[in-house]
Amino acid sequence: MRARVLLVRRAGAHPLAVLAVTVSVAMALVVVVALRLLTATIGDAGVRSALEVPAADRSLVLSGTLDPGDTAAVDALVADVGGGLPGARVTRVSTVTSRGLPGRAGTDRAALAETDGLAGAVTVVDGRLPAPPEGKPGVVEVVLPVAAADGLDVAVGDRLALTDLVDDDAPPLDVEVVGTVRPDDVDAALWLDLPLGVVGVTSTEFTTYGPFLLAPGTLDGGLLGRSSATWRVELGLTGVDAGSLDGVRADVAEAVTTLRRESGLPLVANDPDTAAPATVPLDGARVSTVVPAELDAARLVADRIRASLLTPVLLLALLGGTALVGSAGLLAGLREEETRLLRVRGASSTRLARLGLGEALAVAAVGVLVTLALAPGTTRAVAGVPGPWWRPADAVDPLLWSTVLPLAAGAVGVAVVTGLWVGRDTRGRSSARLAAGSGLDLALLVLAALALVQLRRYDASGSTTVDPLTGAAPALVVAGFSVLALRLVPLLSRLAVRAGTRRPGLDLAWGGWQLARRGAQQTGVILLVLLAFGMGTIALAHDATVTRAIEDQSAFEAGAPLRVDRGVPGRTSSTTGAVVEEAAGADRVVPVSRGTTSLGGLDGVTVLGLDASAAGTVLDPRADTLRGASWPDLAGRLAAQDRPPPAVPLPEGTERLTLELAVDSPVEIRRFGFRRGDGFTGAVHVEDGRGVVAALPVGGIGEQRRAVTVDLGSRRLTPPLAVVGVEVDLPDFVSALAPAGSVRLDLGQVTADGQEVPVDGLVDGTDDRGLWLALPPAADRPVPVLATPAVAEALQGEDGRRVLLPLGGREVPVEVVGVVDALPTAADPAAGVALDLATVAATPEAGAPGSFRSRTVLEPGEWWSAPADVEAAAAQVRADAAYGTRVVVRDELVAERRADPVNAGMRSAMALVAGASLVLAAVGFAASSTALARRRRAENGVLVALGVPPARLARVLEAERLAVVVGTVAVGLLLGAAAALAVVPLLAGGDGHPQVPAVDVVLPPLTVLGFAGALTLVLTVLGWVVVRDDRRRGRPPGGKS
Amino acid sequence: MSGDGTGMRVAVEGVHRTYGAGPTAVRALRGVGFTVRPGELVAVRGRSGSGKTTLLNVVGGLDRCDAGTVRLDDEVVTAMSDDDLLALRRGPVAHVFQSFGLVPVLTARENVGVPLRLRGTEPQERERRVGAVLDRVGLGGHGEHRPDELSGGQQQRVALARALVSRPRLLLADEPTGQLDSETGREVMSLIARLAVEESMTTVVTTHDPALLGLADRVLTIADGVVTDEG
Ligand SMILES: Nc1ncnc2c1ncn2[C@@H]1O[C@H](COP(=O)(O)OP(=O)(O)O)[C@@H](O)[C@H]1O
Ligand SMILES: [Mg+2]
Repeated sequence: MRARVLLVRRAGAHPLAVLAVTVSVAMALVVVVALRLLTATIGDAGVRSALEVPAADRSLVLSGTLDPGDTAAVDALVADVGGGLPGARVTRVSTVTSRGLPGRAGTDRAALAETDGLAGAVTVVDGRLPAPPEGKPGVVEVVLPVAAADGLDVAVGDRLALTDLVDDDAPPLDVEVVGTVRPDDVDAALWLDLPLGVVGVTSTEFTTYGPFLLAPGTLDGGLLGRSSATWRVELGLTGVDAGSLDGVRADVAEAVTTLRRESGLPLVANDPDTAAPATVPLDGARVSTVVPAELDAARLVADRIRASLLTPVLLLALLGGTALVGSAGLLAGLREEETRLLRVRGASSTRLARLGLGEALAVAAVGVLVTLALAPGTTRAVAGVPGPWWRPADAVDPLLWSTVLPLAAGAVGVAVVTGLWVGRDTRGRSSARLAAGSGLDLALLVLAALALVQLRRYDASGSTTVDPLTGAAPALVVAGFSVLALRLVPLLSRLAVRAGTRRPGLDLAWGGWQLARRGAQQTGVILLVLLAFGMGTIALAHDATVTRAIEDQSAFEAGAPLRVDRGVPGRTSSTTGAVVEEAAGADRVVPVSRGTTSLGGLDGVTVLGLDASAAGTVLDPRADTLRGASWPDLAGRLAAQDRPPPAVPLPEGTERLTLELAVDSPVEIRRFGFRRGDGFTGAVHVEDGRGVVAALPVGGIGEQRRAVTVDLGSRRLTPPLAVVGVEVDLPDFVSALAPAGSVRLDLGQVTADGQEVPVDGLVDGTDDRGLWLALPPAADRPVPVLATPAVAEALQGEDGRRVLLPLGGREVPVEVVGVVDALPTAADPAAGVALDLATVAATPEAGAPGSFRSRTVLEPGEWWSAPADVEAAAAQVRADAAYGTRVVVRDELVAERRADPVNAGMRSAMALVAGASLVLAAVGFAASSTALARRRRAENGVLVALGVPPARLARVLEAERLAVVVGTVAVGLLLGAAAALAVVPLLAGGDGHPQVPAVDVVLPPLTVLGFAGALTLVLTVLGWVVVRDDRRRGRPPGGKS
Repeated sequence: MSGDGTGMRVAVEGVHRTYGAGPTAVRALRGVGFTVRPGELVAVRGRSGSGKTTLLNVVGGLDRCDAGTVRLDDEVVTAMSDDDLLALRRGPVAHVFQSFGLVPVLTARENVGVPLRLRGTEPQERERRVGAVLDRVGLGGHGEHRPDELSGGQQQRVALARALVSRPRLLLADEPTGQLDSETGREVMSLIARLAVEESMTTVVTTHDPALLGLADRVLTIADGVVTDEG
């Protein structure tokens, strides 16, 4: 009871100092706890964001072939496995060998399939879904995708007979089309196993239509013999968070093991000893999944977020500790007299220590209560999680308690030890000074360097586990630099003393003496300001860097402010380019073709063909990836300087192009047997105004001259147009029957909207791959390309040897005219090459005798543009473009990334830390200024007795504080910049997106200087107020000390 | 600057000084009056709490009285502005305190040099005078020592040197021996007496040690806030 009264009285005696201690403790506790809670919240968000992957990457797939009647056994196994996995949805797709379509071309095929997932994945456009075959013996009901029905020209109610291609004697399968359907979501998992369902028609060597979708269970009923089946267990990973990640990972591993074991596959790949006999009747079973890898990636994101947020947590704990030492020291200093009195009255050391402990416990308790009240709400506010400021569940959050209790205990320890320390050590050598003296700063720096090396390795490989040292690296860097900077203090003050000694006046000498000989009293506050400033600079640089990185990466992903492509491959719309040009303005659009090739040891090299003349202004790659060149200059290097004149120019506004074509052969073409309608298929190569060549298909070319028509009007190509080639594909066997070179292409009259066009520009260019009429051979000149360093190296010819780039099945001579570090939108950013579409179209194939131009047709499938009003253009394209067209808007990607909980959370966390650092620095500074002013009261009294005006003393003290603040902030600028450069790249890469191009640290100079100015101002005003206040209250009685 | 070689005349008349107000007010001085002739060494004795310090502070312009006048030569200290009082303390009046009043972080030389710095004395001249005055108080060899490296007596000599360095015409020493043992106290007291003669300054020393009173030209006694002259 007495002790409690004494405690309250003691606290009441120095309310401001007690407040400073309490604020230091509470502030540090609240923010550190909030950051811990935030780590968990952002970690979960990061995991969710990392697991937002396409269905293909969320699935376990089992496939194989099986006999009718065996499906149920496998179904049961997969259902059982799926039952143990989160949000699992199982679909099965069964297919049988393609069938022939009598009455159509010999190369036409019908694909048959059934799936239990059909009903939920399609919209019935016409008719209904099929019923199982029992009802109408002999005729099987099917539905067709609209695209397939259109391609086959069949409608609901039509019947088709599908022939067995292997067994000629087998009776045809009669099917009735009872409905047409359209996929609801082309990205749904079902279509991964049934891709034909999206496009309806594919043409390779054969043209395949379908799938003819049967009622589920039809194939199992034995109608069509053995079938191939794919079971896909699509997981719902949206509910997985950092805590449940490892459990899910284990479950998935278990599921994969079960599937492999039950289907008789070795448990260790390629080790037959680990295989057990299959329990399900599945032949050629395969199990595939990337889910474990995805879960590992998510784990890495979570770990990385934890490590990243460890930095602010540690820095803040450090700051809080320093501020606490300062304010607790002040309090103890203020009580020196009181403590002496207590001792005189017989209080033992134990009793005094107990008093100190009691007080520290009281302060810590207040801190814990404040934390309980503020931290959960702060976390929710910062993380953008909706919810009330406080809810009862917060009071029992184990994470909160497990964080706040050790911290509070630490604060109690620091406060008690500081109190005892100050009571003992009247010379006031601060612990920071001791730390500098004992080389602790150097030790910290060495540790920091080690941690940074570790962190970089972690960053590069992206797979190392995150240990606490790596997370602590940034904090160590800042702390090490800060303590190192303290070594400057004695140095600088010695300079001040020397300057003061040589002058007659008192002020400079007085300030210098104080700084030089009482520097220890300043180290605490210097450390505090340095830490706060370092932290603030890191936060500012982090914000600027992330802003920039988000823009860079979105720009990289989009390629241009607006990119339009065909979305799903195979779905073509000939008018997309025209739609984009209309919306964005033709001169602001770059048509782009995308392909992949292999080069030497490099696989997956992205080849971007683009219209170089427009690319210079539409594309805007990051300057520092261009190795000193300017983008317009690089783009300019791509275009050939002289383009040959078009061979067969077409009149402006040509809508319909008609060519009389025939195949001139010594052998009767009918003997070849295979034909579609009455002949071969081919293409007319039309060059548009950009020099881009489009291959427009024509069909039915036979022995008789026949007019084929190409609809140019509907394609809306950029004028002026010209015909640059005509090609007819010959199946391989033709060359076996006809002597080489004896089959030729015969071109008769060409008319544009009925008006004759002279065709003397085209010459025969037939080779063993096809019949050709082409532009005359041109000088064999390499195509200029831009390449990433790896590709440039792979393209490096040895001593003038020609460098060839495999392109569209041919090899094109190229010359590297520029190197870029990363090619926007490339699948592997470091493996890409860009070239000009028109130039490549005008460049002959390498090596072939008689090199003809326009063989290499790269058709644009994407349109990159930089419209004046991106939003409006995007809206217009979205409204006008064909179904399935994908519109990528750079700013939308930016907005999406900004809203990413990891990015947003990290930024808020950093802002929170910066703000808290400022408050802690201000509290610490005020406490230290008060302590300083009080400690000088006695000697100031002496000086006043000697005739120094008190105001002048205050001014000197203020100037001293200002010098300390300015000096510290100046050092802090360097320190902050160094720390930010070291730390920010590691902090900025946590959102799970690939950081391409590499994160470029942005130190916003004006903002940082503004921050420095604000900090200086706040601290100076604070120092001024404190010193004034002290002078007002403690006017020293003359000479009494 | 102040060195015209003669001490100041001190005339105190009807000085009252009360600390606080109401029932807890302490009337430290209640109508004090006396005079000190130029060059005279006067000792003021009185028990602790009798008002000695208050008296010296009022005389030297460190404190203001509620009523009465203090004249130094012809200047009325009690009517001076704050700035004039500061100038007075920088110039003709010097104080020595019971607790020495040295700045702990400064060396003896630096402590002694402070008054000269306040007057803007050129560094060379300053250092010469500091050296000379330290010699005179017998601390020539201790110039670079900090107060905590000096004994109490040595510290008080440094304080004395600091008082003398600006060549005051009135030295007010408030229990200069109060924190010294009697032997050291006597030494310091004789030093003050000797210097008072050599500098021909007027000196007022307070003490409650009767043994030191023999060195004074005259002894005043203060009790209950009133001074009586014992001749
Ligand atoms: N600043 C002050 N506030 C209130 N009372 C004071 C103050 N200074 C001195 N006194 C009181 O005035 C009286 C005279 O004090 P002082 O002049 O210090 O005596 P002495 O120096 O003889 O010991 C004492 O009762 C003392 O308690
Ligand atoms: Mg006294």
